[in-house]
Amino acid sequence: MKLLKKITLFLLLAIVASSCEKKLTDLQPIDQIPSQLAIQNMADVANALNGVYGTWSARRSIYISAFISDEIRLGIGTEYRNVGNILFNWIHVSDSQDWRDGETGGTWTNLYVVIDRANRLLELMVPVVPANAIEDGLKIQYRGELLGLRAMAHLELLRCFSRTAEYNPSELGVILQTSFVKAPAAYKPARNTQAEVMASINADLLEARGLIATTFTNNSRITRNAIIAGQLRAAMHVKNWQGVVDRANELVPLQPLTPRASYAAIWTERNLLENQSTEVIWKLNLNSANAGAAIGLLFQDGGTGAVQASPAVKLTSSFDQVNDIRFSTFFKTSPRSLIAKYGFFVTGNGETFQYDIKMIRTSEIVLARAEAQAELGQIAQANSDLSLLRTNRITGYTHAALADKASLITAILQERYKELCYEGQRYFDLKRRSLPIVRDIADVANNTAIQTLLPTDSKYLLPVPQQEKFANPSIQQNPGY
Amino acid sequence: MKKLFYLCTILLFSLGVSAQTRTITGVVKNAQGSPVPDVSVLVKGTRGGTTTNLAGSFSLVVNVDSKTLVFSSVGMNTVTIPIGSQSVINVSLTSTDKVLEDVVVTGYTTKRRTEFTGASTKVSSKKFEQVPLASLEQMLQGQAPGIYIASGSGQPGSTARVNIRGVGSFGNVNPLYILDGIPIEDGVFRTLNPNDFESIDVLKDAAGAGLYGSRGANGVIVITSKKGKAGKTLVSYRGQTGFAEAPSALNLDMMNTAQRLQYEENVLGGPVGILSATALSGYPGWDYSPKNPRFLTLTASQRATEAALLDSIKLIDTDWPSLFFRRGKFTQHEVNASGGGQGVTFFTSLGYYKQEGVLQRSNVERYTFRSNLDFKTNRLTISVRTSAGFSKLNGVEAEAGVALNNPIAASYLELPYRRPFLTNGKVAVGVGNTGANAYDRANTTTALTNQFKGTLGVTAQYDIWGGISLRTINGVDWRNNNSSRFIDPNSFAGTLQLIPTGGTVGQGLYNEGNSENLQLISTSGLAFNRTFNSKHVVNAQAMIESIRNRSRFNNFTGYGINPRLLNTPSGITAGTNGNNLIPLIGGGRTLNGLSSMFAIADYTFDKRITVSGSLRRDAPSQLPEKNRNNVYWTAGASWNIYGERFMQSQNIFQDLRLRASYGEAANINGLGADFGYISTYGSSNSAYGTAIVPSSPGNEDYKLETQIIANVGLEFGLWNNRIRFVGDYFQKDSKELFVNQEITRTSGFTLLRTNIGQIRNTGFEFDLRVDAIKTKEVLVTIGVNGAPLKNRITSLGQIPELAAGTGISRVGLPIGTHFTVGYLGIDPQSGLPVYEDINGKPTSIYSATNSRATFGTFLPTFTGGATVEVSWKGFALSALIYTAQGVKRFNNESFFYETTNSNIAFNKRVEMLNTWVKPGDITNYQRVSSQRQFSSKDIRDASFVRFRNLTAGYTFTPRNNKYLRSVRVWGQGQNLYTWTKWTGFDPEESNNIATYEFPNPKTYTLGIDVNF
Repeated sequence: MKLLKKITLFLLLAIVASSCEKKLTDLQPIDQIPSQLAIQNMADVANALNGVYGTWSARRSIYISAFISDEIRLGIGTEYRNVGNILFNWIHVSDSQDWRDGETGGTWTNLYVVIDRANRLLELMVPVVPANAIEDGLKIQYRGELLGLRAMAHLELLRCFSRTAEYNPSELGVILQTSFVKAPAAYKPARNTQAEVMASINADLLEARGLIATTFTNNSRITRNAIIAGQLRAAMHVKNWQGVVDRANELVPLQPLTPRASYAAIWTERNLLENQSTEVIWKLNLNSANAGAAIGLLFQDGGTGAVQASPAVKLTSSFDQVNDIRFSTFFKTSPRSLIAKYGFFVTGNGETFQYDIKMIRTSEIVLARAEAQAELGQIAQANSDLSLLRTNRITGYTHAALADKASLITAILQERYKELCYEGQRYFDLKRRSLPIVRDIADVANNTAIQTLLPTDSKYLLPVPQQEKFANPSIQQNPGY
Repeated sequence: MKKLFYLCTILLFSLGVSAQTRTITGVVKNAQGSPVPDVSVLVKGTRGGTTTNLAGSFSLVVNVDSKTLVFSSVGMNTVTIPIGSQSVINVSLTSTDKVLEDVVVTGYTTKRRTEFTGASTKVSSKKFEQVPLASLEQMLQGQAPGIYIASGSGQPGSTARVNIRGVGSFGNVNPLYILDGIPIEDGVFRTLNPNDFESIDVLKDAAGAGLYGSRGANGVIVITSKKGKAGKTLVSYRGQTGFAEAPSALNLDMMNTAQRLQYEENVLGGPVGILSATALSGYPGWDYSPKNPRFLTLTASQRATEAALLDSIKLIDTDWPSLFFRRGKFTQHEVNASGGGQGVTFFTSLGYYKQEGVLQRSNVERYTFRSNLDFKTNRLTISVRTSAGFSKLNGVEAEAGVALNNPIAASYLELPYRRPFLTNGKVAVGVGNTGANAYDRANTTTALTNQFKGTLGVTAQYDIWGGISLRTINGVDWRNNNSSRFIDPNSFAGTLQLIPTGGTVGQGLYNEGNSENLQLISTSGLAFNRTFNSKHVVNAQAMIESIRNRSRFNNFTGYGINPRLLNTPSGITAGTNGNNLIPLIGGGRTLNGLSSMFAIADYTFDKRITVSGSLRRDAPSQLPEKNRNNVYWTAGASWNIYGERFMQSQNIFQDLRLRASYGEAANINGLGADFGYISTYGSSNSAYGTAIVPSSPGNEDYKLETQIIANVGLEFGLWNNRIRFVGDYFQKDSKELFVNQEITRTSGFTLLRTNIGQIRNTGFEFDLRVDAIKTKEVLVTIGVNGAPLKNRITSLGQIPELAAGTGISRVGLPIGTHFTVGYLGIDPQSGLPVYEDINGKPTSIYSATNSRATFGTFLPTFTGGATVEVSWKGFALSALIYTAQGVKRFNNESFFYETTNSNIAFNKRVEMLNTWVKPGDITNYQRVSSQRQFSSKDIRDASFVRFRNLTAGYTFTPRNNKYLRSVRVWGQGQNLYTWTKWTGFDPEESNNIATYEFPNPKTYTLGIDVNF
């Protein structure tokens, strides 16, 4: 009997043990949040949206634009670590480290991560019920910001990787990704046409514009002004000149140019106030949390100041070095020639390069309007915009009107080169007009082979990264790669 | 029911009884006079026999013409007694040292070897006690065929790579370690005292490792700790002391000052050199050479000055390796006591171990304690196994890193005409002073890990009735690592310290971290062990098992160390946005669980035929719920041919056994992360404040990596069992292996872990031991074991191949295959390298697209060991030789000491004096300034044969001494000699690439064992 008790007890134990299986194996991660549980309230949405902003690594486009074009000279001597030498020497191939994940490049990967994160949140936030009227408004605004980010990222990809230099609606653009990929192993998308991608960009921007209130003025994020600027860039890309003028006419009064007197502060303040008091329409935050993403570290090493790139002579020599506020703001000539737009390191100054990254400024908008007006034959208005910008940059500037469209456009592009240097625009400005990249002999260490890159050269376009090609056999490569 | 059973029993018994019989009774006792149960009593030449009961007594009915009785038992010497006319035969059995050869401990079961259906190798304590290594898995090297142990580091206390029967996964292939029935964390052994262990069983196939289901695919290493024996309390002291010597570089001589200056003069300088002929280059061999065109521009007095300078430089000839290496002291002490009586036995030990590495600063120090208790009453048996230990490991800088802080790298690469010390005796630190800086760091930085480890296991068995018992095993394995790192702000290294946010140069750093691992297990169920009619042995058990594993870690790194508060967290400067000395803080925790049910059974008929089987269901928490129902099974059979009637007439074999097993297991280690299947968000460091981002794509189809293993084994003994052979052939098919599949970047991720790979390992293992000389006084045993292995990737799903750096995974090739451009030699005309194109044809153009996979793999195709054991009276000598063949490794070191275009400030191997300098030079070293590329030139043969251990000792046994039982004095040498084509300090390594690893040292020790 005693024995029977013992056996019964044991069997009971066994049953308890098996019912423990659930307890033993139904576990949730501690350090991670399962995606289905991650977005439950508006605070979660806000945190995930912060994550999307934090993902965008603008330095990648800036790096490509600076090193492939005529903005820089490579470093020399033992301090130079071969940063950017492949791109600068135009010997890039589809698996150059400039496009690889985790390296200095990786634009393709990074922007698709931005798009994916936006897509996920757009979907995961749908069921979230706002707690009050304020959250009702936030939910609408957040959707607007996400659509804006998605559109901006697609536009950037289109500028980088399209199969043609200039916009061509029927030619291959990039992969249009408007939902998050649920079965990634089997997903092998082909590239969409440029028209398809543009249509989606415009639709996203249009919807976002209606969702973001004018009272939301945080320029570290996508405001309504930033959306209008995005629309302007999109119009510019497809050469919809009237569209450019219309958007600029809306936007410039909302956030006018910063005058010369306060211009330098835009660049010397590490973290600008998050409002629309300056001409910075959209910026990305940069501080010790993402110190490695600093733009200045592209040109100089942290801690040692070893120079990896210095300003192109072609660029510095184009300035009125005495009167133009931009010259003293963007460059350092002593003790050595340095790019100073995002900080510069000289012994003793302990520079960390932690400056906000300016994504869109009114200067660009004004110059875009000038260019569009010139294209539309509005010579006087174009001259007026060009003059407006220069007056706000150069002491004692008096404008000598340019009479014809061609010389106006040349002057405007040159002004963009000077105003927007190291902001990830130069290469794309040349590309959208199929202009050759031409460097000064002084900037290429007398190597004439890398002085001129014609739009007909395959290196003029960027390749689709080999890693994408490897994972996704459906993707079409650009010619020559 | 009961009646039927009795009836059967009677029937069975009656079968053995014939007309002309008589009955013999007796009692079997051990040397201490205690009765020995379960002793087999057999009539020689027949299969008739019985076993002793708990009181050690037996009763056997024999034919009148039976002449001899054979008494045998596990762990006892077999005794043969002529029957004569006696009807009472009392026997005393003595225990044998071969005890362990006779049983296989699987953790769940203990089987006589003759009745085990699987492939396993037992390594007894004699083979690993007192070996001067802190981590026990390294001691298995060469002892068991089919287990590849590769020690990647000579740092005392480091762990080695362990692969049982090849690599069957692209991920983790560590075997499962079981200590007294309790799983213990792999790779964490340095805080356990191997001298506490009685034996190690290596389970290699389905019948052994397969019992562990989802944890068994990589093989199982089962460790059994010592326990006491009833009787007098035995006390032992064991101690040893000795030293470790740095190995000298094999097949490699670096330049001395004279050679270096000659190299600078003739190669770096000279007509095709790269040094300036007009200005000082910083390389004195060229700068002050009369061959330098600059020389012609000098005045006579300038020439005299420079000649004097050169002379003074010639007087410096620093032997950098001898500066970094040292003789490392070694000490070990241990006291243990064991004994028992009245149903209680105990074993307890205290151990101290201290070993200095052969590089400055490196050492490990360990304190261990163990207490094993066994209680036995009529029905209840309880075993308690407890151990606790603490160890302290000091590491070297940048171990195995391609970094100038690494003392090994610095010792190779620093120039011989540089001085380590200034005239004031201080270390000559400074920018570019590779050797001195690395030397200084040994004293101005620390890399310390304190480890606590405790294990506790309690096994209880209650015999219910008729061979049925309740059994429960419960245990804990706990480990805490506290690691700290400090860089002195007052040192040169400290002033160079960068802070993570970039910007200002910091003042040293202090880092401290804790990591903890806790594993709990509970296994309970019913067991059935019974022998029917001496002929039918049945063992069975049905168990429920729960395992919970928790781990956590945290760490911080602070900067701006206060120069007066050294090596403590209190010296850290608080971080502000202004000073940018923001400390880094990290940490995390995770857990997993495994719920299992299993049944294991075997049946032996007449000691001749054994069949075994197991069925197991494992539900691991690391899988999606739909894939948690994993069922594994194994089956095995063994035929003891020697026991057959027809074998009685032959005189060739004294043992002959054939066995086979088949079954399925899985590799739970292959899962990697605990929650890899779940799509997740995680915290992100963002300039936008609190942020979360998607952190894992998840994969709802996650499965376990599974494996089907088939094994056939043959064992025999010849020449009165003086020749013993064990051979096994196996085929191991691993499938559903995780592969990091590249996915489209539009998914927001780059890699997805998917179960698409397949690998096949096939191999043969043999273990041959011969008692070459066996007399009353002398025994010489020679052992040879080996295992040729063939490893092939058989599928990668839809993916043709996966290239990763200098390696490639491709269907049809083994794991670890090198992938690079072929190198043919140097063109004597141009002095430039000639490579192979994609078809193997010569080309002068280097292109990564010409990479091929024809240069071998870093995993050996053959491993083996050889042993010699000699005993003569009190003398004993043993030797172990180990080999790994078919190993090709990437020599990243040679890339530095054989380069000609860059790195000219580093010292070169002597052969570099033959660098190409003019057309017609036949050499293997390309002209200076030509681009040196990674190629097959850097893939070198790392196969080796190593004289691993030699031990000689003498045991003195005083007669009639009340206090002293025996004294043994002995000496040993470890890693005495290595035969290899490898260039460098040590061919043995655990991975594919040589990156200035800490070499395995030569160790010499003297020891004494005193048994009271």
